Amino acid sequence: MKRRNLGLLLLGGLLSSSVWADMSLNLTKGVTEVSRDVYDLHMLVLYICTGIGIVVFGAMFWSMVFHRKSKGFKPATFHESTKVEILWTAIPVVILIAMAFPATITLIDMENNDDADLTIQVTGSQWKWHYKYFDQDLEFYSVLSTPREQYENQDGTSAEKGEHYLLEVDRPLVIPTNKKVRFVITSDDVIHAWWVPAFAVKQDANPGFINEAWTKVDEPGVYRGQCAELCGKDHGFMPIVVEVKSEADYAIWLDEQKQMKANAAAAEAASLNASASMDELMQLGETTYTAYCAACHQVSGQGLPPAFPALKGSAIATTGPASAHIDIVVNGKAGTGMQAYGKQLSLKEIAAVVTYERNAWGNNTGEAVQAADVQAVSGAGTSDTVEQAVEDVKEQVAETVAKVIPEEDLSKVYSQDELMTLGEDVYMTACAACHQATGEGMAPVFPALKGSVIATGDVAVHLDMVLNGSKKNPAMAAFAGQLTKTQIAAVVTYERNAWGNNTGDLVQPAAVAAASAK
Amino acid sequence: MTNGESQNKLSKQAQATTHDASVKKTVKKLMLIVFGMFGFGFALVPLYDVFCDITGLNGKTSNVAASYNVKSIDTERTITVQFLTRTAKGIPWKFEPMVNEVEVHPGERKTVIFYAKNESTSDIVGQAVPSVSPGRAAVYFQKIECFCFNSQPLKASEDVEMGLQFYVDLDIPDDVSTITLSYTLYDITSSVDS
Amino acid sequence: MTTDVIDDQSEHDSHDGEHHDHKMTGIKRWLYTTNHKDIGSMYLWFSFIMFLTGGAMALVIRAELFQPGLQIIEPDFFNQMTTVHGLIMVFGAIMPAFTGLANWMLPMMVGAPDMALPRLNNWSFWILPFAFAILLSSFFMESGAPNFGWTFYAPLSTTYSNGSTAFFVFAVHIMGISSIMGAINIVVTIMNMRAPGMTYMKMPLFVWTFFITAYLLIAVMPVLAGTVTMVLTDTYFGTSFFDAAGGGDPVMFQHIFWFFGHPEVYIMILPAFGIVSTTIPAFSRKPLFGYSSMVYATASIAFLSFIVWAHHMFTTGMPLFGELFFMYCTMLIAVPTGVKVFNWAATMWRGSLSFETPMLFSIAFVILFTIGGFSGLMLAMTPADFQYHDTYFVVAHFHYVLVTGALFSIFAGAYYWLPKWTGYMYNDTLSKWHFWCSLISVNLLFFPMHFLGLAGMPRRIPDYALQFADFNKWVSIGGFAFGISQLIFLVLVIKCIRGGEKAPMKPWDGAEGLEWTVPSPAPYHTFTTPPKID
Repeated sequence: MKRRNLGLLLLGGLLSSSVWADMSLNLTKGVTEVSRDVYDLHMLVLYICTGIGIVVFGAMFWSMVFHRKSKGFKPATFHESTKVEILWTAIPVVILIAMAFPATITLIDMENNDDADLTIQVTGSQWKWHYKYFDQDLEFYSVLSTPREQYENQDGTSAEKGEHYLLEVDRPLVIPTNKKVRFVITSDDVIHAWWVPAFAVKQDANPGFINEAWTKVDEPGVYRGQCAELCGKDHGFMPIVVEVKSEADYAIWLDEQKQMKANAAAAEAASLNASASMDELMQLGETTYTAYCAACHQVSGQGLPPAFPALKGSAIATTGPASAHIDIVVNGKAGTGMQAYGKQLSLKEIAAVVTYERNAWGNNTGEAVQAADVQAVSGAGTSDTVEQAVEDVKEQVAETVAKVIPEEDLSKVYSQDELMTLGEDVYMTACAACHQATGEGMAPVFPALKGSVIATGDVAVHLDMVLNGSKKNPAMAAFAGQLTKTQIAAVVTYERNAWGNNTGDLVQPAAVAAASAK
Repeated sequence: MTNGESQNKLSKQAQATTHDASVKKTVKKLMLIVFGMFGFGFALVPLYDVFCDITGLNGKTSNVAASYNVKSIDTERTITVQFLTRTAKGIPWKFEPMVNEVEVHPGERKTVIFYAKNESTSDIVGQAVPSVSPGRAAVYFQKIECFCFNSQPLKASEDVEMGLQFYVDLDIPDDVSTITLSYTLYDITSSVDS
Repeated sequence: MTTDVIDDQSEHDSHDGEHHDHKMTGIKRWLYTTNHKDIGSMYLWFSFIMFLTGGAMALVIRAELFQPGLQIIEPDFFNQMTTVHGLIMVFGAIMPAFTGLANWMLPMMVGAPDMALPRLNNWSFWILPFAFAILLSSFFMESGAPNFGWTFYAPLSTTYSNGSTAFFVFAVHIMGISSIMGAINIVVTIMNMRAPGMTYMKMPLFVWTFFITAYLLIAVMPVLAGTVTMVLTDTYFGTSFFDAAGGGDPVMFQHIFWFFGHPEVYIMILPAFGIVSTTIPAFSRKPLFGYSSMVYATASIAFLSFIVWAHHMFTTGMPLFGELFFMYCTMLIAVPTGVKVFNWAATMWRGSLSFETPMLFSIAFVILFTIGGFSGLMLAMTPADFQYHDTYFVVAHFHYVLVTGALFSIFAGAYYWLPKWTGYMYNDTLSKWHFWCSLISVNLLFFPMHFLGLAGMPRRIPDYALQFADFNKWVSIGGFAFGISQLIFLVLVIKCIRGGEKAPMKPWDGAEGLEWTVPSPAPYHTFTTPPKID
């Protein structure tokens, strides 16, 4: 009886494998021609293997059931047969050749990286991805965005895990549909591998060397993958998210990115002249620390020695000069896991995180580091570059804006809804970086608009401020050259009516034109 | 002990000696294989480089300046050469090409400039490591002059413009229309010091 | 495994006692022994202890992966667990177990009194515990144990390693020296010590597979030694073999490593072929089908193993012709491997089968190893490998080959020869429990890993997305069940050594070979006068 059970069990296991093949746990078909070819190849080989398995295992089970000693079966004596042996050498060769054909064709297709419409440089580092659009002035890091409390459950806590637990990032890579997108892949430190199953793209990121891969996606959507080469401690925590947009949506996205960059640069320049309070620095510092530093140095600041030293009570974060501390954060330390954050974090964030590290966990140095201090350390040249960047970006924004709204009808009268909708868009891209989405600003450099005298008082003063900037506070830039009159009208309307400012004032483009003519 | 027995014993001893000798011979041969293979492990390093040079495996380009003695320029074909840069972990330099891409005809000589600036407060020696993709194009990408042939010392806040002069071989395969050249910059100060 | 009970019996069987070393007692017997049976027993015990150690680490891994989130251990310790689990199972469990079997059985199978180089034999065993002591001691260092995967890819193991690289390198060096000495001994024994009349083509297939395996070891273990030496100098002495900054290339590491690594895979499976080629004919009561084609198939697999290494590296950015070459060569391996499987099936065909425990493990081996072979064929297809590479599909593949393959064959061999080693029959009921528990749990453990890999779960991650949760739970349950099942084997072996039903000289009616012409338990010295083979 037992022996028959063995047979059933093994057969059951095999059968279930082919049943499962059609369920969601099989290989993904993906969303590209190549990924579908790969899927077909996978299924072809799987079916062939299943077929061979049934024949061979079938013969074995037949012997096990019928050729048993307990049934008194007398053994045969044959022990070779040249004919049979040649046959079962030759048949597999033929089957293998049949499999090699589609495999070769798919492979040749996969390796043809030429004639791409768009090139993106993908760089892995411990433990995040960096994307750089080759023909756009656009690059950013993409970091895991799952909150730590969702996965750090060693103390018994278990925060509810989100739908895309460990497969979500702060800034996904965005690519257009129906374009041949080429990825040039490399690494800053150890070997990583960039893998998106839906594209059937998996390429190692080798430090010092570049690799290529390409994809051409048919359907817009969000596709998720993970690093596929052991790269150290947080190998399991560096996901890849690719958002595929239609070509039109992609163009809009590119414009948005440029706007955001302009705003960030402006905020950066502004933060140089501002002096933030200790509370504000500590608060921002803690958020930044948790997001970027805690993976290695731990939330407790105690690190994971010897690879990741403690900051709590360490010389660098207490008795040492702040400039040395800033230097290591900005420039990293060669030959260690400590990387350069100068290009990833804003001056203010670095100032905040250094302040936080020098005052948290009983390090109480009492020092508050300002953005200007960071800039002083990170190189004399940077200030030109920041200003240069601001200028560049302003130009770009002007171009973009001109492109998006080519003709302006100044006489048009908009409804409140129209103005508010457009105004919110403009506010979010042009103003929210400093004045915050809530309109509460970041005192003292970036004053609140919510309930402020400017935004609830005289419309003319408000308009003047937006058009020409502030004479007292250099952080408030003049937007006359950056935004269209319609956009300024909308944003002023928005500011005067959002967050409970309900003044009911509607500012039309014509009024802006009049004000700017003065 | 009878005569026959001692003779028997003698022949046994003789057998044992020939047996020992053949064991020794086999052991010696096997030890030779062991040491040979240990050496072969290290020989794989230069072999790999030779293999890479011939096939362009892994996009390695030659570290030696090529001489320019091309007689004609193939104006029928245009190759796009793209430049990428990356600074490795721990080198606080700004490093970028002045142009993103150039178009060249096979055989044509081109010069492009890369900009590097040491943004830190200490002196650093950098080394740019080139890599070409597609790998099989690497053999046809000839560098006449390149900053990557030497290390690049920069004082704190110093900047420099560095040149790369190259041409693409006439016999580059027909299906290659884009060549990507990437430079990764490494901090080699410590190994230069010691 | 041999105890004093055996020692008493050895005296009356030795014909000319004065030529033999006087046997010592207690610990000295084991420290100074040059007897192949003693050394074989030590190898087998050592490998079983290592198997339990590595298994305990696997259970830590499975406990952490039981549900999403980091519940038990830190990611870095998780990486140490996966790394040392791999190293211990490869170099500490499977390989020494095969060497142990070779030590015990080879001299008896070729009719030799001992291994050709008995003192070397003692050394090659006794340096092994030190190698693993060094490796395991790194857990107690500040740096922690190696955390870069058993494949120790540079630069993770060099520039970016924790401080454990030196321990790792020296441990691997010693393991390598031990393996090389063991392999030299096997080759010399087989070439010089065969009984008169035993030509190469009359040797049991078991001997053939160990002969070829030993050659593989001699050829590739020095390459591994070279690789770890380069890792050592890159880490501590400023060379740049694998560092792009100094003109090296991290991908070259993988080429050199897998030049060792792929033959290493066959080192762990060819002896398994030898074992089941011994047991299946015995319990089918029919000679092995296609003996000579088995020999040629083994040899050609060994040859092919040297030209397929880069199929582990399809995603590293190889040129197209390289990918095609390695794909075709890898697919070719399916041919000789297929021949073997067909031969085993044909041996069973129209035999007179009985299902003693060694046979059960052998049949499970053939079927489950073949499933591992199928997934291997799928992995060989380069385009598909881009999807499978470094996922749980690969983990499932090599565990089918190494656990239900190599390990099951070792169990088959152990059950087959236990009566000869101990002089007693093992407890049949316990052995059946061991088999069925192992069989069911091992499939629960490894089969769902195929699905996990295909669904996109990368290997070597301490935490995973929610869609992988269900199968991971089952896999972990299977893992713990499999781990506990192995304790049955431990109990069974201890019971078998201590006593039981007396084993006859040849307990299996269909068994063939010289080892069954000596009494059970095998006397301390056997074949001091070589047998004649016609």
